[in-house]
Amino acid sequence: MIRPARMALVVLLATVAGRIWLSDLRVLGAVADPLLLVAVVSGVLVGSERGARVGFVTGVVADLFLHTPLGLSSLAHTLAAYATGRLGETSLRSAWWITTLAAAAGSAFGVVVFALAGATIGLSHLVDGGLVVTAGVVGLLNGVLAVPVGAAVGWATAPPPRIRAGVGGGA
Amino acid sequence: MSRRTGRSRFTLVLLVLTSVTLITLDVRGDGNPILDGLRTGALEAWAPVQSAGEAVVSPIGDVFGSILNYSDLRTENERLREQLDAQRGAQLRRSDVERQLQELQDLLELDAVGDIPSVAARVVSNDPANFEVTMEIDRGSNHGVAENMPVVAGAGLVGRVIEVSPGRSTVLLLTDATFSVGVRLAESGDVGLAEGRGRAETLVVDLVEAATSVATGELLVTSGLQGSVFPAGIPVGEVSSDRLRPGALQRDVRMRPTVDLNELSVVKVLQWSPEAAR
Repeated sequence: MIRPARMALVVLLATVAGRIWLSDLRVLGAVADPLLLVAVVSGVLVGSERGARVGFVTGVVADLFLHTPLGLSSLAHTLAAYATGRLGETSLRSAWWITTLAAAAGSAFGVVVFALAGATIGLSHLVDGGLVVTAGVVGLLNGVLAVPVGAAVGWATAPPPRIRAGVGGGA
Repeated sequence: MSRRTGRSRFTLVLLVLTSVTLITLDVRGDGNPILDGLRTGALEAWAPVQSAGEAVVSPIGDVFGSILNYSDLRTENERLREQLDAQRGAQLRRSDVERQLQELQDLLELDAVGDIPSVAARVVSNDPANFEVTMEIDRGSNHGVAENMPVVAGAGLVGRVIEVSPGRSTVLLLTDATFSVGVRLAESGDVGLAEGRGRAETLVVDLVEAATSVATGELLVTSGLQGSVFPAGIPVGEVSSDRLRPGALQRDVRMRPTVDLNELSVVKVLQWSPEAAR
């Protein structure tokens, strides 16, 4: 289950990481996308439906700081989280490398969806020769960050501790 | 299992439709006041978080940045030494060009950039997105900044303001793929349209006629033609390459910005608009 307050904190930290801490760490002109990573990892860990909901929220947050139309990132994050969620649901067993691989692939997929969706509404500059490189680099960087982000998302989606009945001394 | 899959797909369809609705609302017309207000509010609310985050990690980031960028820094150092030598020879020629430009401005009664009131601002954030080339500055509407105001640095044009909150503004840099500015070749006086190419270091200069004489290193300045959001005479870049394909009607000109956009820390926002200048 998703614990809203914890997930809000994870999303905030991902926003801070993306806009401040990681913004200068560019590889071939591309940067990691922590908000997209939170979305796809959520899809892997909590399933496609809940992951899509998390992706919608992370996408809206991302859109608030971009100057592409509001809704474009939420569309991309939703679809990427859903896709990785479906992948996670069909895996026979979960392992850290599956999460990493799914996060990398899901992130690259999310970048491509963002660019293609933008191109359909007239933002043709999003789809140019550099898109493949950008998607690949974002996938690679997000894959590197998948383990710590996975831990954070796991913390935000952990079920609350069960309330134990009193034992001994009474009743 | 099938019920869960059905609910999952229903949720997906609902979220996709909501996203498409938001896109439609934002794209249609001249902007949605509610959505614009959300962005402005986010920009303003982010300011203290940004300051706190930078204070915590900027020393660490500087170390990693230096390590990762060492090779680029060394290459850049060598390039700058070569450029300095070339600049000494070009300085005399540029002085004469600037004199001609000033005469032209006086003749056409155009605003001199130095006379335009401006707001100095510090760059607080550089470009954290993959598909946009922007930066944030620490001045906003409370300081007299408005949308579409030109932004300059010591060496020339940096970009224009695209979003304003009370205390912060977002600047679209001239290398962004959606940025364009009318330019004039300093020597021939012919005009063209400079357009950003995203992360590339050079801009494309379109609409330069085939018969135009273009020299590598030639200065380009804003043309300030009617309707332009930039006043005339702001240095924009220098010609880095020029090619004329056989049978082409236009030259293939590339331009390198005069401002090093990777090293900006302080800029000036020119409080100028084409309407006010008339």
